[in-house]
Amino acid sequence: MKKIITIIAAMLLAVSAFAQEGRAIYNKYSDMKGVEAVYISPIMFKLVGNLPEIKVNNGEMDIAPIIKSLSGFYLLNVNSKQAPNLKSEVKKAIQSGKYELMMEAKDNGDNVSIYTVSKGDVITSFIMLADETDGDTTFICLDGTINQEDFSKLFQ
Amino acid sequence: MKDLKDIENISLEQLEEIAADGRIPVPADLESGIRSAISASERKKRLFRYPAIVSAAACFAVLAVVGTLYLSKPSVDLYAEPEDTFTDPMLAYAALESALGRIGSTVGENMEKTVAFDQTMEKAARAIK
Repeated sequence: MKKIITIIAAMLLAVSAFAQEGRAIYNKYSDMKGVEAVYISPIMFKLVGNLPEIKVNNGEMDIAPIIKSLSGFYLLNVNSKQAPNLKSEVKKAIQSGKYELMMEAKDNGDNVSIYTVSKGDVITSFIMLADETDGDTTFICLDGTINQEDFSKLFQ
Repeated sequence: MKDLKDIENISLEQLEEIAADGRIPVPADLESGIRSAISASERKKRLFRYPAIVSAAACFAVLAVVGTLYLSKPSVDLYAEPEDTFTDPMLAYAALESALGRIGSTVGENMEKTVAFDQTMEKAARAIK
Protein backbone atom coordinates (compact mmCIF):
# COMPACT_ATOMS: atom_id res chain seq x y z
CA MET A 1 0.00 0.00 0.00
CA LYS A 2 2.82 2.42 0.90
CA LYS A 3 4.58 1.66 -2.41
CA ILE A 4 1.44 2.45 -4.39
CA ILE A 5 0.99 5.79 -2.60
CA THR A 6 4.65 6.73 -3.23
CA ILE A 7 4.39 5.93 -6.94
CA ILE A 8 1.17 7.93 -7.31
CA ALA A 9 2.70 10.97 -5.52
CA ALA A 10 5.78 10.87 -7.79
CA MET A 11 3.59 10.72 -10.93
CA LEU A 12 1.50 13.71 -9.81
CA LEU A 13 4.65 15.75 -9.14
CA ALA A 14 5.97 14.92 -12.62
CA VAL A 15 2.78 16.24 -14.17
CA SER A 16 3.11 19.64 -12.50
CA ALA A 17 6.82 20.21 -13.00
CA PHE A 18 7.23 21.14 -16.70
CA ALA A 19 9.83 23.81 -17.61
CA GLN A 20 8.88 27.42 -18.56
CA GLU A 21 11.19 29.42 -20.77
CA GLY A 22 11.19 32.75 -22.52
CA ARG A 23 9.48 31.43 -25.66
CA ALA A 24 6.83 29.56 -23.70
CA ILE A 25 6.06 32.66 -21.60
CA TYR A 26 5.90 34.81 -24.76
CA ASN A 27 3.56 32.40 -26.55
CA LYS A 28 1.26 32.25 -23.56
CA TYR A 29 0.82 36.02 -23.19
CA SER A 30 1.39 37.50 -26.65
CA ASP A 31 -2.22 37.12 -27.84
CA MET A 32 -3.87 38.28 -24.61
CA LYS A 33 -5.74 41.55 -24.26
CA GLY A 34 -3.77 44.33 -22.60
CA VAL A 35 -0.45 42.87 -23.75
CA GLU A 36 1.98 44.42 -26.22
CA ALA A 37 4.28 41.81 -27.73
CA VAL A 38 7.41 41.96 -29.90
CA TYR A 39 9.28 38.95 -31.28
CA ILE A 40 12.36 39.01 -33.50
CA SER A 41 13.34 35.71 -35.11
CA PRO A 42 16.82 34.39 -36.02
CA ILE A 43 16.11 35.17 -39.69
CA MET A 44 15.29 38.78 -38.88
CA PHE A 45 18.44 38.99 -36.75
CA LYS A 46 20.50 38.04 -39.79
CA LEU A 47 18.90 40.87 -41.75
CA VAL A 48 19.43 43.29 -38.87
CA GLY A 49 23.04 42.14 -38.55
CA ASN A 50 23.71 43.44 -42.06
CA LEU A 51 22.66 46.96 -41.04
CA PRO A 52 25.16 49.71 -40.12
CA GLU A 53 26.65 49.91 -36.63
CA ILE A 54 24.11 50.11 -33.84
CA LYS A 55 25.19 52.45 -31.07
CA VAL A 56 23.66 53.14 -27.68
CA ASN A 57 24.75 55.15 -24.61
CA ASN A 58 24.98 58.39 -26.55
CA GLY A 59 26.71 56.74 -29.50
CA GLU A 60 29.58 55.43 -27.41
CA MET A 61 28.77 51.77 -27.59
CA ASP A 62 28.54 49.56 -30.67
CA ILE A 63 26.15 46.71 -29.94
CA ALA A 64 26.40 45.05 -33.34
CA PRO A 65 28.45 42.13 -31.89
CA ILE A 66 25.67 41.48 -29.37
CA ILE A 67 22.94 41.61 -32.00
CA LYS A 68 24.83 39.21 -34.24
CA SER A 69 25.02 36.71 -31.34
CA LEU A 70 21.26 36.75 -30.66
CA SER A 71 18.86 34.08 -31.91
CA GLY A 72 15.65 35.29 -30.30
CA PHE A 73 14.22 38.46 -28.81
CA TYR A 74 10.96 38.45 -26.85
CA LEU A 75 9.34 41.52 -25.35
CA LEU A 76 6.04 41.67 -23.46
CA ASN A 77 4.51 44.77 -21.94
CA VAL A 78 1.57 43.68 -19.78
CA ASN A 79 -0.96 45.78 -17.91
CA SER A 80 -1.49 45.65 -14.17
CA LYS A 81 -4.17 42.91 -14.52
CA GLN A 82 -1.86 40.45 -16.23
CA ALA A 83 1.28 41.48 -14.36
CA PRO A 84 0.86 39.12 -11.34
CA ASN A 85 0.32 36.11 -13.63
CA LEU A 86 3.37 37.00 -15.73
CA LYS A 87 5.53 37.41 -12.64
CA SER A 88 4.48 34.01 -11.32
CA GLU A 89 5.32 32.41 -14.71
CA VAL A 90 8.79 33.97 -14.61
CA LYS A 91 9.18 32.81 -11.03
CA LYS A 92 8.42 29.22 -12.14
CA ALA A 93 11.07 29.49 -14.86
CA ILE A 94 13.60 30.73 -12.30
CA GLN A 95 12.70 28.00 -9.81
CA SER A 96 13.15 25.32 -12.48
CA GLY A 97 16.82 25.85 -11.72
CA LYS A 98 18.03 27.05 -15.11
CA TYR A 99 18.22 30.80 -14.39
CA GLU A 100 20.51 32.62 -11.95
CA LEU A 101 19.78 36.00 -10.43
CA MET A 102 22.14 38.58 -11.89
CA MET A 103 20.67 41.74 -10.35
CA GLU A 104 17.67 42.94 -8.40
CA ALA A 105 16.86 46.58 -7.67
CA LYS A 106 13.91 48.23 -5.91
CA ASP A 107 13.51 51.99 -6.00
CA ASN A 108 10.28 53.87 -5.12
CA GLY A 109 7.99 51.18 -6.53
CA ASP A 110 10.16 50.50 -9.59
CA ASN A 111 11.38 46.91 -9.29
CA VAL A 112 13.84 45.37 -11.72
CA SER A 113 15.07 41.78 -11.72
CA ILE A 114 17.59 40.32 -14.15
CA TYR A 115 18.26 36.60 -14.60
CA THR A 116 20.70 34.77 -16.86
CA VAL A 117 21.63 31.27 -18.01
CA SER A 118 25.33 30.92 -18.69
CA LYS A 119 27.65 28.26 -20.02
CA GLY A 120 31.13 29.38 -19.05
CA ASP A 121 31.71 32.88 -20.49
CA VAL A 122 28.67 32.71 -22.74
CA ILE A 123 25.18 33.88 -21.80
CA THR A 124 22.62 31.67 -23.53
CA SER A 125 19.51 33.30 -22.09
CA PHE A 126 18.76 36.64 -20.45
CA ILE A 127 15.53 37.74 -18.78
CA MET A 128 14.71 41.19 -17.44
CA LEU A 129 11.49 41.81 -15.55
CA ALA A 130 10.72 45.46 -14.77
CA ASP A 131 7.76 46.95 -12.89
CA GLU A 132 6.74 50.40 -14.08
CA THR A 133 5.25 53.09 -11.84
CA ASP A 134 2.01 53.05 -13.89
CA GLY A 135 1.41 49.41 -12.92
CA ASP A 136 2.59 47.86 -16.20
CA THR A 137 5.30 45.21 -16.24
CA THR A 138 7.87 44.70 -18.98
CA PHE A 139 9.40 41.30 -19.76
CA ILE A 140 12.45 41.15 -22.04
CA CYS A 141 14.08 37.85 -22.99
CA LEU A 142 17.18 37.43 -25.15
CA ASP A 143 18.30 34.02 -26.40
CA GLY A 144 21.60 33.38 -28.15
CA THR A 145 25.30 32.92 -27.49
CA ILE A 146 26.25 36.28 -26.00
CA ASN A 147 29.81 36.82 -24.93
CA GLN A 148 29.86 38.10 -21.33
CA GLU A 149 32.58 40.62 -22.09
CA ASP A 150 30.58 42.14 -24.95
CA PHE A 151 27.47 42.18 -22.80
CA SER A 152 29.16 43.90 -19.89
CA LYS A 153 30.14 46.78 -22.20
CA LEU A 154 26.45 47.68 -22.33
CA PHE A 155 26.56 48.70 -18.69
CA GLN A 156 29.62 50.95 -18.89
CA MET B 1 -23.12 -46.42 13.34
CA LYS B 2 -25.60 -44.10 11.67
CA ASP B 3 -25.48 -43.39 7.92
CA LEU B 4 -24.90 -39.88 6.65
CA LYS B 5 -28.46 -39.81 5.33
CA ASP B 6 -29.82 -40.70 8.78
CA ILE B 7 -27.72 -37.91 10.37
CA GLU B 8 -28.98 -35.37 7.80
CA ASN B 9 -32.57 -36.36 8.52
CA ILE B 10 -32.32 -35.85 12.32
CA SER B 11 -34.84 -33.25 13.49
CA LEU B 12 -34.05 -30.27 15.73
CA GLU B 13 -35.79 -31.84 18.74
CA GLN B 14 -33.72 -35.04 18.36
CA LEU B 15 -30.53 -32.94 18.15
CA GLU B 16 -31.47 -31.16 21.38
CA GLU B 17 -32.11 -34.53 23.10
CA ILE B 18 -28.68 -35.78 21.96
CA ALA B 19 -27.03 -32.58 23.20
CA ALA B 20 -28.76 -32.83 26.61
CA ASP B 21 -27.68 -36.47 27.01
CA GLY B 22 -24.91 -36.41 29.62
CA ARG B 23 -23.65 -39.93 28.71
CA ILE B 24 -22.07 -38.68 25.44
CA PRO B 25 -18.47 -37.50 26.13
CA VAL B 26 -17.62 -33.99 24.91
CA PRO B 27 -13.96 -33.40 23.93
CA ALA B 28 -12.28 -30.87 26.29
CA ASP B 29 -11.02 -28.63 23.50
CA LEU B 30 -14.24 -28.69 21.45
CA GLU B 31 -15.27 -25.11 22.32
CA SER B 32 -11.79 -23.62 21.69
CA GLY B 33 -11.58 -25.58 18.43
CA ILE B 34 -14.89 -24.18 17.21
CA ARG B 35 -13.89 -20.62 18.18
CA SER B 36 -10.54 -20.87 16.33
CA ALA B 37 -12.31 -22.29 13.24
CA ILE B 38 -14.73 -19.33 13.24
CA SER B 39 -11.83 -16.82 13.67
CA ALA B 40 -9.90 -18.42 10.81
CA SER B 41 -12.98 -18.21 8.61
CA GLU B 42 -13.47 -14.48 9.41
CA ARG B 43 -9.79 -13.72 8.75
CA LYS B 44 -10.06 -15.36 5.35
CA LYS B 45 -13.06 -13.16 4.47
CA ARG B 46 -11.10 -9.99 5.47
CA LEU B 47 -8.11 -11.05 3.39
CA PHE B 48 -10.32 -11.62 0.37
CA ARG B 49 -11.75 -8.08 0.74
CA TYR B 50 -8.30 -6.33 1.01
CA PRO B 51 -6.98 -7.05 -2.53
CA ALA B 52 -10.24 -5.75 -3.99
CA ILE B 53 -9.88 -2.42 -2.16
CA VAL B 54 -6.25 -2.07 -3.23
CA SER B 55 -7.13 -2.84 -6.86
CA ALA B 56 -9.94 -0.28 -6.82
CA ALA B 57 -7.64 2.36 -5.30
CA ALA B 58 -4.93 1.65 -7.91
CA CYS B 59 -7.46 1.96 -10.77
CA PHE B 60 -8.70 5.27 -9.38
CA ALA B 61 -5.12 6.56 -9.00
CA VAL B 62 -4.25 5.67 -12.60
CA LEU B 63 -7.43 7.39 -13.84
CA ALA B 64 -6.62 10.47 -11.73
CA VAL B 65 -3.09 10.75 -13.18
CA VAL B 66 -4.28 10.22 -16.77
CA GLY B 67 -7.04 12.78 -16.26
CA THR B 68 -4.61 15.34 -14.79
CA LEU B 69 -2.18 14.83 -17.69
CA TYR B 70 -4.98 15.31 -20.21
CA LEU B 71 -6.38 18.43 -18.54
CA SER B 72 -2.95 20.05 -17.98
CA LYS B 73 -2.06 19.83 -21.68
CA PRO B 74 -1.97 23.43 -22.92
CA SER B 75 -4.25 24.38 -25.81
CA VAL B 76 -1.39 26.32 -27.46
CA ASP B 77 1.99 24.82 -28.35
CA LEU B 78 4.09 26.94 -25.99
CA TYR B 79 7.36 26.06 -27.73
CA ALA B 80 6.26 26.76 -31.31
CA GLU B 81 8.18 29.58 -33.02
CA PRO B 82 6.12 32.79 -32.92
CA GLU B 83 5.53 35.02 -35.92
CA ASP B 84 7.97 37.91 -36.46
CA THR B 85 6.46 41.19 -35.26
CA PHE B 86 8.29 43.21 -37.93
CA THR B 87 8.77 42.58 -41.63
CA ASP B 88 11.15 45.54 -41.99
CA PRO B 89 14.65 44.95 -40.49
CA MET B 90 14.94 48.68 -39.74
CA LEU B 91 11.93 48.52 -37.41
CA ALA B 92 13.36 45.40 -35.74
CA TYR B 93 16.66 47.23 -35.34
CA ALA B 94 14.90 50.19 -33.71
CA ALA B 95 13.12 47.90 -31.23
CA LEU B 96 16.40 46.16 -30.36
CA GLU B 97 18.22 49.45 -29.94
CA SER B 98 15.53 50.66 -27.55
CA ALA B 99 15.48 47.41 -25.53
CA LEU B 100 19.24 47.01 -25.27
CA GLY B 101 19.63 50.68 -24.42
CA ARG B 102 17.08 50.24 -21.64
CA ILE B 103 18.87 47.14 -20.31
CA GLY B 104 22.19 48.95 -20.37
CA SER B 105 20.92 52.07 -18.61
CA THR B 106 19.00 50.07 -15.97
CA VAL B 107 21.97 47.91 -15.04
CA GLY B 108 24.43 50.80 -15.38
CA GLU B 109 22.44 53.10 -13.06
CA ASN B 110 22.13 50.44 -10.39
CA MET B 111 25.80 49.57 -10.62
CA GLU B 112 26.63 53.27 -10.10
CA LYS B 113 24.44 53.28 -7.00
CA THR B 114 26.28 50.20 -5.72
CA VAL B 115 29.65 51.87 -6.27
CA ALA B 116 28.46 55.05 -4.51
CA PHE B 117 27.16 52.95 -1.62
CA ASP B 118 30.52 51.13 -1.34
CA GLN B 119 32.35 54.46 -1.23
CA THR B 120 30.03 55.71 1.51
CA MET B 121 30.60 52.53 3.52
CA GLU B 122 34.38 52.89 3.14
CA LYS B 123 34.24 56.46 4.44
CA ALA B 124 32.15 55.35 7.39
CA ALA B 125 34.57 52.50 8.15
CA ARG B 126 37.55 54.92 8.08
CA ALA B 127 35.71 57.35 10.32
CA ILE B 128 35.01 54.59 12.85
CA LYS B 129 38.69 53.59 12.89
